Amino acid sequence: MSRSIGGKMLRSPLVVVTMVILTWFTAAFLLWPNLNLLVETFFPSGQFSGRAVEKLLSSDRAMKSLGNSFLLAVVLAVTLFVMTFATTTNHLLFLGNAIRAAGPQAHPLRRFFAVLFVMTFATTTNHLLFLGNAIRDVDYQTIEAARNMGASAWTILRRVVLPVLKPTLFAVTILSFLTGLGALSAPQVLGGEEFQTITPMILTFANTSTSRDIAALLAIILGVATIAMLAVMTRLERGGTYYSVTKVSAPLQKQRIASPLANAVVHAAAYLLFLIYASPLVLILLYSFMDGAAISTGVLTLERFTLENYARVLSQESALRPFIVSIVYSGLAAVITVGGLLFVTRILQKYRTRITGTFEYLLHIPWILPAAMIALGLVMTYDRPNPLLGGLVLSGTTVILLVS
Amino acid sequence: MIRFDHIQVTFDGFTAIQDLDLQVSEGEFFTLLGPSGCGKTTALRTLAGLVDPSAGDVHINGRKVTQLPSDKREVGMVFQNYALFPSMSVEENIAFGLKVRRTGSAERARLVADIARRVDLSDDQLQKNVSELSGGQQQRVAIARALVLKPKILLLDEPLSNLDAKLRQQLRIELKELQAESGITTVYVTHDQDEALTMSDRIAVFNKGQVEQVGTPQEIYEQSSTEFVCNFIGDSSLLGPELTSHLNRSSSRTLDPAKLSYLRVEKAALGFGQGDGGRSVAVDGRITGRNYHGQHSRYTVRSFDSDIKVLVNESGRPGHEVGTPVQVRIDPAQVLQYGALA
Repeated sequence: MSRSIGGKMLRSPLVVVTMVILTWFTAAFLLWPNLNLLVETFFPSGQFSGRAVEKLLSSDRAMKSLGNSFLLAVVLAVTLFVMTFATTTNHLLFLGNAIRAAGPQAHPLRRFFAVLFVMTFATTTNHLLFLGNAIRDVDYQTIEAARNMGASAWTILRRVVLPVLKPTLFAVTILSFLTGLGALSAPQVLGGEEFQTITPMILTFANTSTSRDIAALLAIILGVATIAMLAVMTRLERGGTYYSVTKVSAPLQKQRIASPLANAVVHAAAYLLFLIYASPLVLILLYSFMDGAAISTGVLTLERFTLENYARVLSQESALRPFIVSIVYSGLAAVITVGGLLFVTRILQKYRTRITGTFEYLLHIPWILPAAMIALGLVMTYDRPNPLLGGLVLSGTTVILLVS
Repeated sequence: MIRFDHIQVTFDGFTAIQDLDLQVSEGEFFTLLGPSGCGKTTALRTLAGLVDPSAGDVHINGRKVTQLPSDKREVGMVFQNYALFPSMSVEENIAFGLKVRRTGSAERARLVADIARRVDLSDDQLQKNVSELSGGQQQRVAIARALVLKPKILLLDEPLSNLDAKLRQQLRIELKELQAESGITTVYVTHDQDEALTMSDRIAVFNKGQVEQVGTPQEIYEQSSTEFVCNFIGDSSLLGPELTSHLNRSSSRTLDPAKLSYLRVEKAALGFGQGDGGRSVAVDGRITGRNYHGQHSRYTVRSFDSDIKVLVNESGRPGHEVGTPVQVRIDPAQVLQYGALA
């Protein structure tokens, strides 16, 4: 059966060409850079070496960043449970900036809380998206049935609703943990020297050739932690029925809060959250119309109103260039990925063999491994001529950014 | 036993039930029948305490329960989609209410085993997750879960609607037997007239939030009090004024040709002769359609200004071809008349 499918595949020139390109792409950009990262870290001169581990253990900064990352990951997973009712954007970095601005020599704990605060609000979207959908999938009639049998609100929550949400709760917790572990922008902007985490440290160590092995080892630790957490998540999802067994489940209905006090508290909390989420956007918009002095002092006045920021960003090449580069890269990456995958997914779906199945798994590598590890693997592999790319050097070129 | 006292239910300005005044006797199998959106499920949910009426009261055993929460009304409810707890085993589902009521574990096990036997669930099935059961078995679990708490009233919200036709028929009988055996007062919601007619002691036919008629299945079928009930229950032909005038000419019963006249499909017969003591009138017509149903065929005969539907048991004989001229015998006494023709 499998052989006949393979025969059919070989009869189509388009399939053959696509499979050849896919094989090359997978080997050159998904497999070899990550394998090479392992080789360069543990077999730098062809033989096993624990030098990278020794260097990592003796580096205070690196060890501290590891500790900070795991601390951030654990606390973030907890704090996100508290904040699941609003949306947010990366603009919340601004609010973190405001916190940091409380003092240039801010205490490391203060910096930790600044990073945690921003990341909590910036990643609430994950919780909102996944948990919101899971809550919507709870069959309301199961709640009514439990109520009809005399169950209290607490019993219903504990024995009827939470078991259904269990896999999603685990999934979002793990995703939050991984987000905290691989955090880049928030620790970089707000953490400063006192609160460094793995990913910014990978970038720092990767800049010098003598400490690249530490960067590689940090990236591997990040990758192993990610894979381990995903494995835990998959294991937890198995062996239980968490979805409604009915063909058509009844949608959840809004509940009236009977206690006036509870009603007031819930409403106050909701408005407060709205304020927290909306204020960075509003403030950023307002500050975008203020001059430098107003921004640095944090004082908003009508006299400081200006359109100069917009004029500068839209007219100066140096200011406009990052936007254009981002847009062009994003556009190109989207077009190439979608265009390529149109052919690839068609083939993988049409011809179900062990080979196509393996390719399907391999294409998930970017999803499983952290971006920092993939980027470092690419940089370390293609900083010298490589036969997989016909002897080309990619590091330092604009192509490698597009590839990653 | 149960009394809906001028119940009105509105949702965001939409009136689901207008003025429901209904009584159900103890031990009765009472069915709320009607099309989708007619208010029958809302009425059931109001009785269960899952919907608050905007006006009126619900009484159970002479006691006003309108303000009582669902679990204090001693009603067991089986939901349309069964509402089984997906993370629990069959046994845990059935025992849920007992556990909530802090029944001792030995007593709980005994009650669960007892009710499982009554609804025909094996020990093996009790250990399974509910998702591993078929639709029919899930339905048994839902009934067992409701009955194990020994409620005074059993409420069933279209419990057979998700099942295939054969299983539905089988469970219809089992459900009726279970009710007869336990003698529990049962309020059953369905849109299926067959279910209502075969299972109920009495039926209330709902339409647009109001009760059109309450009566025994026979009363509802034979003496449908409104055009809606006549149309909703059974299969009828609408007779035009030309045909009713013709019937008047050959019959002692005078039908009003200006009224809407309906004839149940089984009250018309194909063929010649006088098999009913001369009460029926023969009218000429031509076959315009035939649907084969296995046990019988359903013909449509055009006669005067009407399309008369006729059921014929052909017992293996070849059927009539479309276009064949035939005679249809109609007993004018069986014609049901309602309001004026438009």
